Amino acid sequence: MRKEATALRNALILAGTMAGLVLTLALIARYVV
Amino acid sequence: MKRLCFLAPDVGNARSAVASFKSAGIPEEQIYALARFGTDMEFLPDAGPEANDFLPAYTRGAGIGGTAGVLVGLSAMAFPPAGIIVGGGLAVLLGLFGAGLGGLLTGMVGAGAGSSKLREFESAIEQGRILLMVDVPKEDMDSTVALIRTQHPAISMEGLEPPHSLIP
Repeated sequence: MRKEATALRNALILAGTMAGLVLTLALIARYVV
Repeated sequence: MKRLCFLAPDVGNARSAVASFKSAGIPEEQIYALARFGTDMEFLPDAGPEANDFLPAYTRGAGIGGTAGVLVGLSAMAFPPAGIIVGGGLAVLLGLFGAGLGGLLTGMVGAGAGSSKLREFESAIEQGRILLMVDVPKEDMDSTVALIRTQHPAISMEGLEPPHSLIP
């Protein structure tokens, strides 16, 4: 039970980070480069 | 809260120790059991987030990556590349990008590795022993150790959980 909850939490953190990376790259491409 | 570590020789002993912890008033959320892959963990609370290094590695990577990103951004501001006007926003964005990338990469590596805090127990776990960790208030430490010593002499007391190593 705890194992599944931890795996879900880790997956959510990774997915959020990836979305944040894409957004940051888009902002860099739009406003900086 | 302090985390006490015990090594049980087998699943049966671990189960009876967990039952003793619960009857002593320790809630199941504060008890963690870690065994080698393939061990029957029924009636044992699994180690959950304590089993691997995902979160400590993620935060470490995000910190290092973020710092590196900000430094790159600041140096780009100080020495702007030809033809590009660099503002303070770039340092912020590169900091965010570095934090994300660092966290992502080190987190995935950390998730695949066992907890660096529990490395000293790795060989015992591989031999089939069960690591039990219990979070107890500081004032209950002695009574918890005494409980195990008197009721479960086969279980060895391994002291407090070691801290995270800075370099995994």
